[in-house]
Amino acid sequence: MRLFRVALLAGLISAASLSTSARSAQPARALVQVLVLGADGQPLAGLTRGDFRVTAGGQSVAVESVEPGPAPASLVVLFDVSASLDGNYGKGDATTALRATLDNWLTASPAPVDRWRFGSFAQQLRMGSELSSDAAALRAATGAILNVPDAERFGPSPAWDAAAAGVTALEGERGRRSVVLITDGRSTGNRRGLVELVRHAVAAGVPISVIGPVGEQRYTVSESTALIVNSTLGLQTLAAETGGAYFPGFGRAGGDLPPRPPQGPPPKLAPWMELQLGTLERTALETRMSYVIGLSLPATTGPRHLEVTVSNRPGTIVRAPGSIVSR
Amino acid sequence: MKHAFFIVVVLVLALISIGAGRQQATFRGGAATVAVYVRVVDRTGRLVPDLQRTDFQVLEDGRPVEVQQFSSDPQPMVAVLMLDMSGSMVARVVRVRDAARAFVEAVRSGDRVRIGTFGTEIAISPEPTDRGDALRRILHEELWPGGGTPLWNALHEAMTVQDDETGRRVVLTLTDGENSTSLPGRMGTPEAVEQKAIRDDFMMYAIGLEGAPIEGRLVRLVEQSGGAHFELKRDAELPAAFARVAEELRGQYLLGFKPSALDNKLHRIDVRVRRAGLTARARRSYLAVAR
Repeated sequence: MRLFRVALLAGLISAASLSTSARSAQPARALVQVLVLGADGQPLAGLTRGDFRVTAGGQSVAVESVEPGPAPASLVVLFDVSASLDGNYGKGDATTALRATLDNWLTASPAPVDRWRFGSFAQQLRMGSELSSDAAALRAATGAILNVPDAERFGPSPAWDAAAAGVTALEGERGRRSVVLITDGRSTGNRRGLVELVRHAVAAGVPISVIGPVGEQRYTVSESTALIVNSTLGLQTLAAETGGAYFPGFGRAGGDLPPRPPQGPPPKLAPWMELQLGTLERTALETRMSYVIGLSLPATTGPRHLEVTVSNRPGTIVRAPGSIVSR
Repeated sequence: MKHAFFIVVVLVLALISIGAGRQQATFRGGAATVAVYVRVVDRTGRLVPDLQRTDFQVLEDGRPVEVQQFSSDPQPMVAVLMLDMSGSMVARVVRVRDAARAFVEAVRSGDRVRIGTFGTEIAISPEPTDRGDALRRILHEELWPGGGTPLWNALHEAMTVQDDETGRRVVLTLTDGENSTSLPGRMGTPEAVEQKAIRDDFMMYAIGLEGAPIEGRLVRLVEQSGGAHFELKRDAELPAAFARVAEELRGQYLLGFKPSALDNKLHRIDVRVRRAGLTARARRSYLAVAR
């Protein structure tokens, strides 16, 4: 019988790590973006104030207002264009395919009610200039942000810093907002870590959704040993803690890389084309359909564990931040 | 017969944030002063910490020069720790990560340390720091094995990111093999690395893992730069090697002398210790840049 021994080498982000608190004299009001999915997996509309149950730091919180969707969404989409997305071969296939796919998608025009801003990151973060609903402007912007020289693609992949910049870009926007991070999760060269990114997103009230790899990678070390590199764990945690979603959209799972042939093109290991850009539309829909609920928080400041549930609706899934900060 | 199947899960999650780097005042000679960092060992290889200025003799192109500046104070570490994360490191990535903590533990206030990796990509932390928690976060979050071994590209990048640093600048690289690839668009032929290291006065250290000798060209560069290299007989020696490098960097003497001419030429340096049984290691040349 095989013995599976799993060594967990670092701690998961927990609500406790975000739960330092201090006293404040006045009750505070906070707005939280919440998505409710029905039993069929589709956004559930029509809920009212009485349907929501909220606790913060274990204490019941009064729901003062509920603003239902749909409402226009503001989305910042960030593409990882570093070489690791090419399945270790680094030929730029992923970025090339992404450019074509994205162009087609924009030609088909996403919902014009939403505003989008695209960015890419490898050694540098490249952000399109403004949030826009104009497909032609967005196509022009994506052409610029995806034109990344090799020297940058073979540099670091600061996914956390990029996502933080996306949050900052949305911080001053009103209404429904989301950052969408498309990455293999091999985040390197960051100024800030994952915990700090979560804190920033929670404080700004901006959910981060992630389109990431389909699963872990297992490398054979010897006949009896393997190394599992799971870059999805951090990404899933990031989405869950900020109230976003994790979509396993691309990449390979499982075995080791086959050897690269000495000549000719490499095998198609990074099916970037598999990336379901429809997921972007799904993210926009979910953002649009989110509720914005107003809470009256107890007289305490600092991050607290947040739990939002919907009563009398079996099978519903609620996406909300894992913690809350009074603002 | 079935074997036990051991799986190590690498979770890469954060611990804390990186703080802004701080400038640390360091000994720095004037424009016409050549700074030489020297480590002195006894016959057993132990570092010798208690020498005075008069214990040293410095020769420039074979001629004695006056040691005008001297310090035996511990010098701040300005360093990039470059970790080989090529695909062949898969079996060792957890050990390397854990062992690198020994180096991080040696970081002190005022040091300016970065951590980098090379494999599929070359990635170096953008901000030097003296915060151990920030460096440990990088070790936990940012080590991803895969790809070839762009060793020379990585060394060049590790020096380039330190171009604006002052004082003794160090590149410590850990690898399990020779250079196997050059990444598109990245700089760093062996010749370019050698030239930059000598011209811009970088101190190079290298650690070769068990069964993976460091390539000869890098060994020669390390010796030329006044650094040291460690060929491990067993990977289990890795924490001790990291600790030794940190100890050496703390225990170096700083000597300064005036160059005979600022002629844009390379000049030989020979540092000797006047006490019997002691050996000095320092860079072997400097470029007399006319400013």
